[in-house]
Amino acid sequence: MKTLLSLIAVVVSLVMLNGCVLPFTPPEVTAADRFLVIDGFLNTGGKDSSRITLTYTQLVSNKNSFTPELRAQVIVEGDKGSTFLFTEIGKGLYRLAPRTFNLNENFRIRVKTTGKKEFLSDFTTPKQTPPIDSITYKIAADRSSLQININTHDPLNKTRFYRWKFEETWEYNMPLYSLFEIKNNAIIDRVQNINTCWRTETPSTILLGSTIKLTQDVIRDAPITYIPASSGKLLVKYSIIVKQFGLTQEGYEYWNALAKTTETTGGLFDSQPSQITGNIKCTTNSQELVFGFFSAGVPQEKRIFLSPALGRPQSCQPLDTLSIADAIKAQSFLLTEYWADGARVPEYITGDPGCGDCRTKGGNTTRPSFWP
Amino acid sequence: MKHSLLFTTLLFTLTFSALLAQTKAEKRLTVDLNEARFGQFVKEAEAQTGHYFYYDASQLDSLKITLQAKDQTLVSVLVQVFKDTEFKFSIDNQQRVFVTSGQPIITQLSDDLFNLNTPNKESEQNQYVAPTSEEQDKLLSTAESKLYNIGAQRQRITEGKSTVSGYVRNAVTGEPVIGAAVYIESPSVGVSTDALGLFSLTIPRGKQTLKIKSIGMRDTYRRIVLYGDGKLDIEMQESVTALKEVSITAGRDVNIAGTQMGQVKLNIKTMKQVPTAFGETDLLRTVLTLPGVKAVSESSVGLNVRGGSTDQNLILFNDAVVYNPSHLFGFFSAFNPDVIKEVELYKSTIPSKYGGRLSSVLEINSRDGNKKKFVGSGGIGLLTGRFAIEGPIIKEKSSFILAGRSTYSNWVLKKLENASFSQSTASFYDVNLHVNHEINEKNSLSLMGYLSKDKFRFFGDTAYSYQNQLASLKWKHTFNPKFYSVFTTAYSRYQYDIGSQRVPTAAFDLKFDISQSTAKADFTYFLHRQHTLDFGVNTVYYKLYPGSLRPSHPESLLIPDVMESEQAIESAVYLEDRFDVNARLSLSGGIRFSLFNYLGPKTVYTYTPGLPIEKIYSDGSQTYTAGQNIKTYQGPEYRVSARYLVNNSTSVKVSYNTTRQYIHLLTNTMVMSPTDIWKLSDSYIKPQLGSQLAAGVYRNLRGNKLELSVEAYYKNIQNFLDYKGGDSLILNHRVETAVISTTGKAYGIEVMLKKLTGKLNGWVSYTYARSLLRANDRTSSDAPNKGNYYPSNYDKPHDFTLVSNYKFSHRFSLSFNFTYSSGRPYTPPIGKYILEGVPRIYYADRNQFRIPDYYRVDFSMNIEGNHKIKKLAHSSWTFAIFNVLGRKNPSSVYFRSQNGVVKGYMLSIFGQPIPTVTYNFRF
Repeated sequence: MKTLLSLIAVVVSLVMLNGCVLPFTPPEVTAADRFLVIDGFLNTGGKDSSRITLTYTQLVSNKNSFTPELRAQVIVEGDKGSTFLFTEIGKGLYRLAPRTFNLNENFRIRVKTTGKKEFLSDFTTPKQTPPIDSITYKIAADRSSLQININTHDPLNKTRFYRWKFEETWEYNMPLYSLFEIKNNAIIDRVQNINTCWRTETPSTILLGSTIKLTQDVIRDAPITYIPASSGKLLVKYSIIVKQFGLTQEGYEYWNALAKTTETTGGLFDSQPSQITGNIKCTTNSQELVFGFFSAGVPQEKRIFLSPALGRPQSCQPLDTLSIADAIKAQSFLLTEYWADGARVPEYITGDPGCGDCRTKGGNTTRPSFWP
Repeated sequence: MKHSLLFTTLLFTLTFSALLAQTKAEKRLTVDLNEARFGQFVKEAEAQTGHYFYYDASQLDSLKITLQAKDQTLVSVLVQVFKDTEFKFSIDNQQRVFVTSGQPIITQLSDDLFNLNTPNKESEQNQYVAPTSEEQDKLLSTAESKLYNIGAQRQRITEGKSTVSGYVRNAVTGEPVIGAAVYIESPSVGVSTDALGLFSLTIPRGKQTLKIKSIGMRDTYRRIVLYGDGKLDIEMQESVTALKEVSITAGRDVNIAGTQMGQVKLNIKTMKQVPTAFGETDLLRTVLTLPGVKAVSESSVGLNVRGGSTDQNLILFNDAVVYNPSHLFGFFSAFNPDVIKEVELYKSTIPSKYGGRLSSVLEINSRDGNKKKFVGSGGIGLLTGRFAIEGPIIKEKSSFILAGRSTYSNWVLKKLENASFSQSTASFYDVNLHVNHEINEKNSLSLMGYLSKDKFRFFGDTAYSYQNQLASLKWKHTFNPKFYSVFTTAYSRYQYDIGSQRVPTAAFDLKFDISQSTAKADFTYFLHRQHTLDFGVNTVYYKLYPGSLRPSHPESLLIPDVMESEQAIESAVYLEDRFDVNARLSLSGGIRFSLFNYLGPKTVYTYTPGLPIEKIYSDGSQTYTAGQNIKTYQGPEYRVSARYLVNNSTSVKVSYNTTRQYIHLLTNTMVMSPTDIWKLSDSYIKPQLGSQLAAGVYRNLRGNKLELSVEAYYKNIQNFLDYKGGDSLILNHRVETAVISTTGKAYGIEVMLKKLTGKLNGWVSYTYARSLLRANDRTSSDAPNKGNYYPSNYDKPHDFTLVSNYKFSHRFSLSFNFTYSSGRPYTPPIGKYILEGVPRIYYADRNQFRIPDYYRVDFSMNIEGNHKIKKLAHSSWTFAIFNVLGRKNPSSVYFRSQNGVVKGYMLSIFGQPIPTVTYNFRF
């Protein structure tokens, strides 16, 4: 009966799970053109500077970093006559110092490259973003996961379209403590504590929300991220900072389309990919593609800390006890000294670096400045 | 056959020799009879000749004699009396006359009976040959041994032709036998029974033997004496031995002799031997093994016929249109195998009586139900169970069949420990009811109801459900043997519902609903031996609710968004003539004129003329009141075909068809999704127009055992809708701005070799086909691929299919299937860029690359219980392995940027061998 059930389960899971997924390497496309990418927005808040990055597209298989566009002219123009020239910082980054803007003015970006091409965006309305009301979390009943949600509202009912980005940081400890290390073929006391690390991740998922179909501009419990306890992020302390952007309808449609073509295609019932470029066009050659969506506004952000103590700590055992010579010879990862009865020099208990060195898990031993 | 011929010859010779033996009889006879009874004649004859007659008066009471004879021998008078009747006579040397039916009495032993040394031809002829057991069988069958008199009986039959017509029925269930061949051999004249089992055959008057053949039924014949126009109903026995006989076309030489092209008929027995992923007989998956029929993905039952899209098929279930023919997102098809009788697919010559869809007609007929006794049947598979009961309501007159099917996948999901599964639900059911009533010989009624519902919820969040409701009422009326009609009303409704209550303030309920009511009258008139006319009228009323979004929780802040309903009337008249020019050339010409009225109430947005239909060019709106005509489309459709018989086993056919379609499926997903929306043609969305030119050569080999066909076609599609990148189609109040109108072309060649009989049966087919699309407005920035032709999603050039079944014995058979096809096209990524620190992909021209080729091998084994006809319950087991090789055939490929890296993935659905067991029973 059990076998039959599991057989049925296989069949059912096939139905439910869209089958299995394998890696796929497409035939190489070699003759792709390079197109300009205009990334950034005009920060109209008056406190922070605005940054625009100019890079070029490249082949999917190209592992090099993206080529920047240097010495270009980046200008933001208002429809009431104001113009702002960005200054080049380097590596394709252009900056405009904080300043006050006329919020009744619409803005567009104009970029002139050294290749004598000019790119111009549509006019966009600066969008005020209401503050984030709260970031909440909910632990699953079986303590196997945690869901983080966001709440916000605009009493003026004007924002309507939202986008969120987040960055998560978590502190974690290793099960084995290393007191010694080998440096220059000598065993010394460990200089740096490698038992506790902080790791930061910025997932690329595009998170969007809209209240256009609601009577009030209220976002309640919009999901931000789902964290399984098995990820190890929730054992000690976890922090998330969420950045909230108010969007225009065009902006929302752009990000929505971008999410659809780059994040959710492939399922049988997902829509097919299409070419999403943005609100910028090349004025010198209408056939030339240009990527990016220019917008103006002030983002809001909020950070929370949690210590839900979810998940199971990694369990590890020491590996061996070695003499000094053997330990140095093997460049072992040392935990503690071991003094055998009557011994004049200590032996060393060694372990797996994966159990004692938190840097092996992708983290950093530097305590982030915002960490309490 | 050979035996029975010999037997008949012997009988004749015997009679003749008896006559010869009696030429010596001297006494002459003079009679003058008019419509006289046989008894009267006997009196006269006995008195004048002194012979004594022995006969069965009851057998001869219907014989009327009109005869004038002067001074003739008794033998010559008797020959005239019994001419063209079944009666035989013989006279012995004691002047006794024996009149018998069918076989004369041997009155004397052969002269050389004891002269063994000189074998004599005559002696052989005079010997009595005992019928073989098979013939004995047939002699026992009273219907076959009886001689039927058709038309007003008279003594003398004039030269010329008369028509015999009637129904061919199943002797056990009373259901009509459709497509049975009714013919005489000399001269060779034949017809097939129509959808009611009715035939009408015009043949020379006199004594004839009608032969009746139909696949799955025992061949039979009726001996008739045709005096004039008349009626003969024929009952056929099911062939008990032919359990797994494949029948692809009804008449064996329909392939050669019919004018239709691209028409395939599958019966339930064929469907049952095609292995499927979940062990249950699947009508649409069997149709998918036919050349020219493709699906985007192996999990989908959306059919793409000869380069047409999935919405271009008119799927009729007992004349009601089916909008979504699938269950569980396409893993099962919506038809319960217990009630299906047969399915017929028209992919090139579409009869004029059908219209409204571009590419094909898929006509699914359910069984009538047993008219003689109650029968239950069912099956238990891994995921589904089904049960059907049928029987008479009034014996021999009316019957019903009620069938239900459901899945227990919910129960299985609950058993799983994985939390995400146990919070998910997926279930479906469908119920069929079919009632049939024969009022009298000229009128019959059938009523069908169908209901299906699917429900699923993934991970305890958004719930989806959809349902089909179908009903049809059909009245068949025969005016006279040459003129009959079918009146049909049908209703179809499809609706879906998506809802979520996870966040009370955003709790929603999204609904879509389409229904159509159809009324039609179809007539067939056998105008002349060479002309058969089909004509009729039909009208369809559409009511469509394109979408409504409503709050589904008291706390919900959702603003209701209800799109205006759409309504339209589509009407058509048609006339078609089948003209048999001569024995070799047959023509069929039809015209259908359709008229579509898009009606108010509705507010239609207007756009500045001359500019693209975009939101930014909108300049207002116009409101129409209820019933007001908003837009009219009309036009003729031509259906022309010709068949030329090169010789008895080879024919050449050509056909040209045009079609119009006023309803569109708006979709931007790869496979047909239950949440796709239908849209009626309106002020901006023009009807789809199609035309197809096809030519083919058909050849039957080895005495019709093998059928070879080669068909080529070229097809043109206009006003097919494709979507603009990124636009939403659901709840889009200006859906006309989200779609682009395209022109499509498709061409291909299909080669198919079928073997219908024998232990090994099945078919092999190869198709080369292309299907391409191009935007109508080639200069628009929304035109995909810069306004050039691009392959459609279902463009798979090469396709090879082998479907085979080998019968080891009557109880054990094996099926083996092999499928190969080119990969589906996909849109490749050509580059990446960085945005907010995250790499994103951009794509090349639409559908420029292909996913890897697809091939799959399936295998199944059928074991039947013993075949005692009288048995409490008959059962059978089917063991099958789907995808024996376990090949991970990709259904799609896609690319995602995850954690800064762009990765390609390939999704395969049935990526491992899937074994299934199904138990079927019938009692």
